[in-house]
Amino acid sequence: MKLETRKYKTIDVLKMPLKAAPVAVTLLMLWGIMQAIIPTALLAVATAWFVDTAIAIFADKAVTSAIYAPLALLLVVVALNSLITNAGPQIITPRIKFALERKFIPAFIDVRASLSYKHIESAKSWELVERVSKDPIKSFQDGLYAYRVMIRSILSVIAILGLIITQIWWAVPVIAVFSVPLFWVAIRAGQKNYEAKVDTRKYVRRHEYYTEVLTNREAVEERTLFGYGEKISDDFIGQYEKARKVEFWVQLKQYAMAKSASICMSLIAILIALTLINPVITGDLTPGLFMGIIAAVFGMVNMLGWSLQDATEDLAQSKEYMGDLTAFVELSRTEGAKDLPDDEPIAFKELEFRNVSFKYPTAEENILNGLSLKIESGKHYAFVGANGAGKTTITKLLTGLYDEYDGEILINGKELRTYDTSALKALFSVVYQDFARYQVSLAENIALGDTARDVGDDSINKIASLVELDETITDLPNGINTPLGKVMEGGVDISGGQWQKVAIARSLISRAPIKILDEPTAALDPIAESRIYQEFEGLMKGKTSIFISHRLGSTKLADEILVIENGEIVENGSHDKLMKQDGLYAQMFEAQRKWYNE
Amino acid sequence: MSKNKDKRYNILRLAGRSAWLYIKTSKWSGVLEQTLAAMHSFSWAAAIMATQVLFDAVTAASVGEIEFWAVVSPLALLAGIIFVQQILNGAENFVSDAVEQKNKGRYMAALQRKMQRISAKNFEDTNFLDDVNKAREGANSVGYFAFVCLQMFTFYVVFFVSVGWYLFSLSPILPLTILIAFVPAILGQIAHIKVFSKLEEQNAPLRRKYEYYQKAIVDREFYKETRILGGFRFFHRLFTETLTIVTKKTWQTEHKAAIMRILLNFASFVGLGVSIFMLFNATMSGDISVGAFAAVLAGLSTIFDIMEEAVTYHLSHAAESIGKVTNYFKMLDAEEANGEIITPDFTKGIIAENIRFTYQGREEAAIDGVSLSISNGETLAIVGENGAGKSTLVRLLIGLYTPDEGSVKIGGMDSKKIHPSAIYGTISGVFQRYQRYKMTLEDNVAISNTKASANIAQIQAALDEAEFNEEGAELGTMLSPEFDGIDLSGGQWQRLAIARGLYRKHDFIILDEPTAAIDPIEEERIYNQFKQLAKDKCAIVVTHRLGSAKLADRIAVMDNGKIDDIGTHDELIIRGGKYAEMWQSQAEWYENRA
Repeated sequence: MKLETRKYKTIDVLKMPLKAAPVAVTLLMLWGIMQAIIPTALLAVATAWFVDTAIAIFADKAVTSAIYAPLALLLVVVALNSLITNAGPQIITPRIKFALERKFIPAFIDVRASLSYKHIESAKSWELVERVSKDPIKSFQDGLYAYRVMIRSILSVIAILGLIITQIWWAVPVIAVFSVPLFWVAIRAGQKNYEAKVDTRKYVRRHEYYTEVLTNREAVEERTLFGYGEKISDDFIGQYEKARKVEFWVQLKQYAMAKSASICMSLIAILIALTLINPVITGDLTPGLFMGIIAAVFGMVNMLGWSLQDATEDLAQSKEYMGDLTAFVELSRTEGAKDLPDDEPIAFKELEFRNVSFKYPTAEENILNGLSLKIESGKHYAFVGANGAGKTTITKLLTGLYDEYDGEILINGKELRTYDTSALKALFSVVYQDFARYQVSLAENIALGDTARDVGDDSINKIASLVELDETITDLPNGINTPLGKVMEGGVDISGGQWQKVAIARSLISRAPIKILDEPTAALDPIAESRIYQEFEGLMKGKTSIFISHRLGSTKLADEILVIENGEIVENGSHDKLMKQDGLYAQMFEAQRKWYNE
Repeated sequence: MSKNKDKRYNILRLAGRSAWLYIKTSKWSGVLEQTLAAMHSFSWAAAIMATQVLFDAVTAASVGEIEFWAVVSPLALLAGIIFVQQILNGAENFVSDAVEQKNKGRYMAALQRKMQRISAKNFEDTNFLDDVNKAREGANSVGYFAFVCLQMFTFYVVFFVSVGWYLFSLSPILPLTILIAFVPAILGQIAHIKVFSKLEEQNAPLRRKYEYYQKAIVDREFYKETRILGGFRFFHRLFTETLTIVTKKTWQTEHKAAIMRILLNFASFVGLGVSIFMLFNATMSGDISVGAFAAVLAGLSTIFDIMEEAVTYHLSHAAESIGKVTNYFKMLDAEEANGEIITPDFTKGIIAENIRFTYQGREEAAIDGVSLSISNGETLAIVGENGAGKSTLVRLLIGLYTPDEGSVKIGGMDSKKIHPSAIYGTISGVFQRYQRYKMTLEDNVAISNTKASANIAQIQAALDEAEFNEEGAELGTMLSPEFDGIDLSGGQWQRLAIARGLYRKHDFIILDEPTAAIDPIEEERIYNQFKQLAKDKCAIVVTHRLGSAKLADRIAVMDNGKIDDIGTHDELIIRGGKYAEMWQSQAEWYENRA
């Protein structure tokens, strides 16, 4: 299944499952109809027949054996009622859930995996994505349930009306006229309740945040030392009570409305009963049918009380969900996002930024301001500069994560945007600051560096020993096939340093001609960092590489250092040249060196 | 904590304790709720009785035994009962919702306050964190659990006693119908729980995998890397495989459960059939009237529905929440950090004697025999590689943790014997894991001292001193885009954290260097600030950069949970130990090649 790009409406909460599981959903709706008719009209008729026959027997107008047929019918109806109303949905609902999970979840994943990267970094779109894909199955199930209840409620009223119409025709318009406002009240109440929930969300998010601060691990030092627990807990109660009071008054109204509606319904039931007394006395209506009708009418009053309101609330939620879904499928996507890298990377000669300017979609100011630079095959580069200078942004543009820049980025003289996503994937290998620690086996972690090929164990072992993972592998219970992390059974945690090596191995096994190291050592101490850069330098001999760092000692090794400030290259050249130039680089270098040379 | 044989948490005690907590927290409204429940429940039996009276009258009227008006009065009685029933139903549900909502906030607040009294070291233990999460869920379910326990008595027992008594008055054998209705429902529930807990056991690891693969494709944490690596297909294949298995298993189990349900429904139908047959016999033998037959027949479906609701809805949901509720109470019962309330005298400094400390669930000691003293007004720097134990040692020295062995004397008081809040009174800190509170700028600073009301002038002074200079941020500005506020850069957050540390009154301060990416200029600025802050105060500076440690009076070099050496910078260099080695390796980078 694919999620089409179109406007989704409330009714889609019924239509889409109907398409995914036609038989089961149809059956479920049919069940709704049976649930409407069996316990009402059918049961009334069976009761009537039985009671009337019994009365006739007592009056000696019938033989005792006449009771068996009505008794049998009564039992059959009761059987149908208990089996159908309860068991039917129980067996169909899981079937629907099964179909929805298998068809919808992958469809959602497909959309999410191809989104333009900007949506991932934008708080607003990301929130939407999270909201839509949090539990789509439940949203659809709730919607289906609401429709079933609606069908059932309306049909059971019709069934009872059908029964009464045969006796006193004028009661029907009266009930019909009365039911409309009652339905309306129930629907309004459901909507109001939903609106109140939307209103209270801001308080709820707030008080949930306080709970988080008071119970999580990250804040434990400040929480304990500063001792703000009491105060924040008071704030929690404050927000909680705000939300609760809003809901309290809405609920009070809602209950009052619902119960007034129920009392009106009961009143109608009583009036019907009252008008039916005379026909019984005159003999136009049998006492059995009287009893059957009365039991059915009172039964209906009880049923309609709550379910209609709940169903409306669910439908209001479905409506909102469908609005979100529409917005979700309308988010822009990247072509080829899910593709493998090209089998053979292009032969890389040079890469050039020509006067590139770029602004993040949600930002106000440019992060890159007419930046120009040149990267040639086989050389080592280092990007240095302050936080927020635009170093990492450059890598995001290179790898095609963002493509709404001004100016030109040329790879072998051809504009980057004209390359397929798969070609870019094959061209670059990046070790990020927050590189992924995939909780799969060590071998798979490394093999992910070259997804276009089937990497054999031999090459994995070879790469692993290059980055000195041999010892780690020997210690792992299943060697390179041991899952890392705690998610898989038999998984083993490895240290931060070991993960670092895995990430570097992943980059080494990649056949991408350009390797980028984007501050992969930020969480390490400077000593460990220096070591890693030095080792990487050795491993990268003869390849094109880019180091991004703010610690300058290690970047000295680069053939060319590019100093970035305010989205521009302000200085470039070798370490010696830049030191002589006595500009920003020299100033930063001095700032760090000072600690060691006094 | 999930599996336990602790008698304090057996189901009866849990039920009693949560019910008591429920009433205690809600007071009169809880009592009102229970009274309404009992009255509401009784109204059901009354409605069945009134229906019988009405039906008997109708039967009599149909054969001309009584007049029209003699039928109206039983109808009026029924009408009255039904009106009252509707009102009671509304009132009971409303009050119970209101009580439950109100209690929920109180339960959560109690848990929050408890967290404040538990030793900080627990929070480094992942099992404990899991338990906290479960206890949080428990705070949300304990109210419902109590509600069900109370309802069992105030609603269901009242219902079945009153209906049973009525049926008994009709014919002594009829109350059996209630039992007949009850048994299959209960059996069904037990089987259901068994089947599903077995499924959960099998499925939990699979589901974890399946959720993980999904995350590896679409979660923020992995998104860009998976995309650039072209890892989609790899994870998608794993994801589809596990999805197929998980859904199939779930479906098979639910299918099985549904079939079992149908069989039990059949059993309960047989029960209903038997009941009808008993009623039928009683009617034919003239024990009960035809009216009573019809009234009870209509009532039977109510009895079976209420039974179904009690067992498959309330009881099963309550049963599902037992684990969470147990966790909630266990967490409330957890041991608290305690001790005497005495103000430490920092002129006596801080003395650690041969301390050892091991984190819960780990084998190696984080601190393995450290002795150290810091005298009044002294600044101590602690250096060492990641994982050497620097932060742990600091937490021990300020009493956040107490040592497993040895002792820490803070201002002359043993950290094990003094109440934590007494120690913290005059200690402040800027931690490596400093917080970015999604609160206003003012609250972000004032949170370090909530005992006194916020002092605007002092907050401003602290911000100025920390050189916090975000344009457009005023004291009332919310610092979180999530709550319609602004976001700060990493550098400004760091300054804010320093302002927070300054705002708190202190004789002793901890300055733990952030490891996150900070450019050299900013790094130097923070350092100078730390230096400023530590001046003439009892202070500990934790750092990764050896050079900066020169600012301190003494430097402690940590390695593998031990203090490798301690002394001034020059002393350490001369001694040529670990410090000198590290120093050399770093300084090399900054020597000119020439």
